[in-house]
Amino acid sequence: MKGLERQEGYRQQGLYNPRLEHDACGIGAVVDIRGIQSHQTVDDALKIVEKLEHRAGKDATGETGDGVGILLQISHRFFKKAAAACGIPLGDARDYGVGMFFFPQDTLKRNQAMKMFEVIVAKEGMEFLGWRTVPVAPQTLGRKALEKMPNIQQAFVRRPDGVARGLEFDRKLYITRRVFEQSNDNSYVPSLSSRTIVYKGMFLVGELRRFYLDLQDPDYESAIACVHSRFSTNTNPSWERAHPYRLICHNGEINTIRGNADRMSSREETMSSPLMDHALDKVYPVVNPAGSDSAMLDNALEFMLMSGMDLPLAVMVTIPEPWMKDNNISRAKRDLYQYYAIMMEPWGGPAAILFSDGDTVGAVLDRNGLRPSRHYITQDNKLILSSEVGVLDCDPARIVKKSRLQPGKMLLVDTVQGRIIDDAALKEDYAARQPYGEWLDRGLIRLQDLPIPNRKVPSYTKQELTRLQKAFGYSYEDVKSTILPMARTGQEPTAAMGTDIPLAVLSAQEQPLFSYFKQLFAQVTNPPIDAIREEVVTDTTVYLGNDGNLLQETLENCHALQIQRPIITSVELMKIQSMAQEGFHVETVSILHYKNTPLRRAMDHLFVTVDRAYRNGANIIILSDRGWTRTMWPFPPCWRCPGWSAT
Amino acid sequence: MAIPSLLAVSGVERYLIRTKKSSSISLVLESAEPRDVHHFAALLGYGARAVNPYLAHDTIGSLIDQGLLDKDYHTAVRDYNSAILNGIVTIASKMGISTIQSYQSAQIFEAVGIDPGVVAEFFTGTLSRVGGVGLKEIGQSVEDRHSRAFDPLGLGGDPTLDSQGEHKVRAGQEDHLYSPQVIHLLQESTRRGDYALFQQYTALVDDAAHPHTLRGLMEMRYLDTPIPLEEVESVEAIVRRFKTGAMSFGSISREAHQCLAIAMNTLGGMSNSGEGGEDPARFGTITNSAIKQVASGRFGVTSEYLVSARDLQIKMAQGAKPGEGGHLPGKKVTPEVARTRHSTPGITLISPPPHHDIYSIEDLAQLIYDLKNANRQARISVKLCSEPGVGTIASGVAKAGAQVVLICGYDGGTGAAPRNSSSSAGVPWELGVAETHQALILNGLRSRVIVEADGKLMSGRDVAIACMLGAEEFGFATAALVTMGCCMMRVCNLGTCPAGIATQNEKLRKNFTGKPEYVMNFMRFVAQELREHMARLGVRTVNDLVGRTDLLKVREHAVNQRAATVDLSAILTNPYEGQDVKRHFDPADVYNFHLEETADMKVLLKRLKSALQKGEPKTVSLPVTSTDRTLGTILGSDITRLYGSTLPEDTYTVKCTGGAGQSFGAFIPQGLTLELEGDCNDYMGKGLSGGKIIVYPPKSAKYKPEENIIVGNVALYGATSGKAFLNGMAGERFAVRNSGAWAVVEGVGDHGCEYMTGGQVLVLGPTGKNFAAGMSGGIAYVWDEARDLYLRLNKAMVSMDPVTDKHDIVQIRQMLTEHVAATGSPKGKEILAHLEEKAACFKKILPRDYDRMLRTIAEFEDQGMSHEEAEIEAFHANTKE
Repeated sequence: MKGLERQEGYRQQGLYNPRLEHDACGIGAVVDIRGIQSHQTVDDALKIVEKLEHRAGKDATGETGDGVGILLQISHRFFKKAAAACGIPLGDARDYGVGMFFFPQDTLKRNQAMKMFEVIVAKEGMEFLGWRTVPVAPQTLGRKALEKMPNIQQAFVRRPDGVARGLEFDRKLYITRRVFEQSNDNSYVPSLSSRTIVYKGMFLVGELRRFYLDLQDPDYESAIACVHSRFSTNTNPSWERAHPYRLICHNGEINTIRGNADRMSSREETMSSPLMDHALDKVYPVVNPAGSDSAMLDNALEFMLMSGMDLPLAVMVTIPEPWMKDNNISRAKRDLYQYYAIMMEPWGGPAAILFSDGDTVGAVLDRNGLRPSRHYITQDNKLILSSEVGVLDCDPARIVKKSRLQPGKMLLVDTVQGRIIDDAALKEDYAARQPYGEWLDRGLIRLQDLPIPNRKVPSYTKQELTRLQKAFGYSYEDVKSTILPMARTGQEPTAAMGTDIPLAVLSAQEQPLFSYFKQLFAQVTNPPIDAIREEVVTDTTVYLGNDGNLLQETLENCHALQIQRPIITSVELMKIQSMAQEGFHVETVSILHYKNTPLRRAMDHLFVTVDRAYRNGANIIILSDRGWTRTMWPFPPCWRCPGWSAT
Repeated sequence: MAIPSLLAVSGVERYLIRTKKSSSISLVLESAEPRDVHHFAALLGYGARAVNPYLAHDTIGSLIDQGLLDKDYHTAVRDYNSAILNGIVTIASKMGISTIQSYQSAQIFEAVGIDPGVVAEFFTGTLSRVGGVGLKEIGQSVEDRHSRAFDPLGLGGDPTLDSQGEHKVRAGQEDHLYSPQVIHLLQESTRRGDYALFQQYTALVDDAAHPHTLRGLMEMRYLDTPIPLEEVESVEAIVRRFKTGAMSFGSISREAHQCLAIAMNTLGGMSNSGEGGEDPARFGTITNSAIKQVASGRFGVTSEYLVSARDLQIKMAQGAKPGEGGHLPGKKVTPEVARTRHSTPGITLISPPPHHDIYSIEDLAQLIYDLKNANRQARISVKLCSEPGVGTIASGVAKAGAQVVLICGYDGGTGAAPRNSSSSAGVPWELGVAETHQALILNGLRSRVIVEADGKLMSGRDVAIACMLGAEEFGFATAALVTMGCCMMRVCNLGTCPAGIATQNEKLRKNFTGKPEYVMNFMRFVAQELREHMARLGVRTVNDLVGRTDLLKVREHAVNQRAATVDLSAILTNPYEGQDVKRHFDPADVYNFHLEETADMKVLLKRLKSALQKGEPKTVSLPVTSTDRTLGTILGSDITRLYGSTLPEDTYTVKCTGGAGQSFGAFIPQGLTLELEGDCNDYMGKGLSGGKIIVYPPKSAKYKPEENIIVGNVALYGATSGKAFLNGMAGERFAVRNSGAWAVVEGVGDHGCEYMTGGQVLVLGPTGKNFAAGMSGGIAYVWDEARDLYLRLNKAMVSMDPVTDKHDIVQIRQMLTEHVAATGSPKGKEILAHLEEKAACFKKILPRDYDRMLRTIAEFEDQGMSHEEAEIEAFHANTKE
């Protein structure tokens, strides 16, 4: 089957690694602020994406696009009609969920997957209503897109009695989808919700409308329409990698994704919320490691939303504005950001994001303002937002406001309340929900506030010092041309004419392990930034201790040690070592080992020791190589490393 | 003995992640090992939350005790820590990461020379593509060092530290490619034109016993009987594929810059202007650089500059410091350099780390499109630096319409860079070129682009291997400098180059002994060597050699235990070898920009045809929409070709209505005016080159223009001259790197006037954060009625004062009057009506160094000197040590 494998696109071959693909794009949205559904909204959004052709990519032949899609409200008017045609009774608006499915073309595999879904729906205590084959026009597609075209179906699921419309029902659908995703590898679910639906695929910008006949039906009405066109760095993009995802479309790139995804996965141990606790086993892992950066962000946001966090707040927490050095920001807002910074690191990188749960639509821009996002508001209460202006013809006389999204700022439209909520009002509202400032005052400890213990930092004689320097591979240059100038000027020395010494692995000299690692850098798909001239967006603060429970707002989450400059002196280290504050347990673990112990065994031993410290309740572990001596006995006396002393 | 700290930190962190404990435990490292910025970056990047480098600190203490550092211990340690931390912030910024919190554990590294098994276990998720040392070898290194520190007999050992000579050559230590002997042989052979001597040089460079690089581990599969040399493509044909590296006039002297241009033009190859502009007197002559570089600083990037090129090269990264900006110290900015860069003598110039019009792949596509519009004959080339994923980026670049993709290695580069950057950022080009070649084939794009390799290419063998890995054009920078006399003193950044190359000092420049013939000899010798290799390989043309990894193998006898662990199979096994696919550039497959469909070609050039030929004024009207991108640029380039910058203002006017696409009026020259009733997108007036842009809201609009956005982000980026009148607010980064244009706007977003070096900007409304950051020249006047501009101004380089001076009021009045006349701005009218009494509501933002320089020049002029003389005197007066 040529259709749909989970890791669509190319496999690893030669030096090519599919993990390194990038994409970027154009985005747009049309929203009726008062929530009045119309086909005009759908049509306008499609017109926008059709004008973003130059922000979309196509393959070498020019006939297959990189991906285009649209996120809409579920149109009751349309689905009532469409489901009735398939003999499926739906009930009232929002009494049913609609799932969009990309299935394998292979009949057997497809039937298995469909059956599987029906079983899971039943198991989750809901009634499966039926399937509808989505009417499509494959003849519009390019060759590659056609080869990869999945079988596209819609599933209808009845809302069980006792489950509220909206988010609560969507949560059940989310759990159902996660269970299905984990039990089936050859299908993809673009959306499964009672409020929103996603139509997408490997299209050129004009093909979206032509391919999905649903979108051409004048009965398809929506108050919200978000569109996206994709430009990928390869020419073998996939159907599932087109945007929108379930909640977002994203223009940009999350360049810290590896760390973010790793930490999201380790957070799974500490996250807990009454809304989701019963289903965590079904839902985890939160982030699908095979997804793109945008998909992973979507996974994380969706999990936070379903676990009870407001969607705009979840977005604020993952993509915070640069609050640390901004002297125009209010105290309450700063406290809110500070509170969440302890638990969640920013998902960094250029980003213009549109998000919607079907009732509200929001847009946010990264802290640097590295993507364009412009919008108009018209007399008849429409919000038209896009990467570019001029993409939708509208009478200048009807426009009441032309604006743009500013760096780190958010714009939210609540179509239920029928109003636009601006950045300041939205964030101040969140900031006032809890006494974050008071909690921080009680919980957060700053390194500079810790008492200095009455102890002396170990010192070395001149001979010992030289020994150690040699043992750790210090060269004459390290001392004279690296350490000395930095201590003198506070700046790293510069050099010219590149480097012409051998690679570490080829060198006859012993180069330190660090030399085997080469730094990566941004080029083309995301910009490097100027940390000197744009210092206002940088921040060197780090937090130590438990990561807390992201999903519940409590004082306990504030128990963290804040270090503003993570290169610390020996006195500062001593302060940490002797911390006696509630909620902290510091242990020192030696990384020394005996001569002749193979490194592998030394590493295994290290893990055992770290484990023991963990069981003792340690939440800060100091790895230390103090005490290297000729006899190779670990020098540190027992108080320095309780873990070690037991061996 | 200690586990290497990086292994311990990363191993434990990965272990904690695997066992789901990492969110309850934070790691802190107390270690003697880290001392260099790169070390700390790696430690944080693999999971340490804080690091205490006690031995580095104690070393500082001992330097103070020895009298080598005259400073308080705690201050010295604090300064050292700051240097490290700033370095890490810079390393994170190279990746576009602003916070250390998100940098931590993000693993933004590639392992080069570590066993993939070790990486998978202890550095999970990091790439390692060429195999390498395992735990055994790593442990052995620790043990060797231990034995050296603590000799087993306890006799005390050698108490002095080894010198490794990492940067400069020191006798008997780390083996430099450019050893004194290599430099001598290269210079002698190319001076004398002695090919035999040149072969002695390449014998040293290619020495199998001392491999420096991955290609050093490779061997060619020669035929038993070579084909006759005459059957192989000629030297003359091959040297057309050769280029010299991008080195700007300013970083190197005029003599050296022109010497390279003459050599390459004579050969039919290409020299590269670098990012410093070029004296227009050189355009069209033998000293013209065939490749004109467009880098983030956009220095001297005018319409004329662009039309003078055969290749327009967009520099995305450079080998010496990928991801970082540049900075030309004030003392190298002589009046002559300042003129070509459109800046002020003696004032330090900053190139931003990113191109502010490229934050993403579709933005690069836009710049490629802009440049193609600015010079339809030129090939567009994109320079990338080797790193994992460069192949997919190259594919994106090919899709975006570039015709040349240059892959440079981490080790190349002649520019000044932070130490850690020149050695630790990026990976060897062997990986990048091979990956690019493979990825392009995979995507069916290989024949659309030429792949070029660059980075310490020194011999015919280097070129042959680059070609076999997938390259078809080749760049040389260091070697070319050495043939002109460079002796690798590595003081380029200080401006004290004894060979008269990397300096602007007049005395030192007299030492320059380079001749174009030397450079030409080098190029011919390399080509000749390449031919000899080709004959032995049985390959007749360079095109036939491209991507022939089947002709390469791994050298049989590894030189040492570590080198034996390297695995080149990912490079040498091309999955497409033997398949029926296009493996090299084919002119028939070049990307089609469809420029004939632009409004410029379809409408403007046609309707202005006769007026253009006669130089007669004419006005045309044009409805526009967002898909009309880069409007006016083709027309502008034709005006430049015909008239240079001699036409009077407003000779040709295009009256547009609607929402204009991106890059409206990019690079338009003097004599061309674009008037727009509507609004416009990003990059308006990019590289404005003397033309005029007027934008105002539709006449029927009911909103207040000064409260609404009319222009997108990064307007007037790199403008060198001309005017812009905008009746509304602009987005982020307005007039970034402006060096001469005049602009009036009614409000700007964050980072307005960043890196500006000249021109005047009048802002009639609020500014965003970080206004005037890195602004080293020009003047900004900002309407600050609320008196809160101080909250948003970046004061590092500029002063802010209320406008009181008569001269300033005259300037403001003039700009306002023109603005009101052009746009009918209500706010402009109102301010103009009360300018005298309200002048103090304007703040004048003036860079301090620029102010001092202008004053000094004025003083000398008052003494009766001409402007040129005064500039030179003022330059010397202000750059004295």
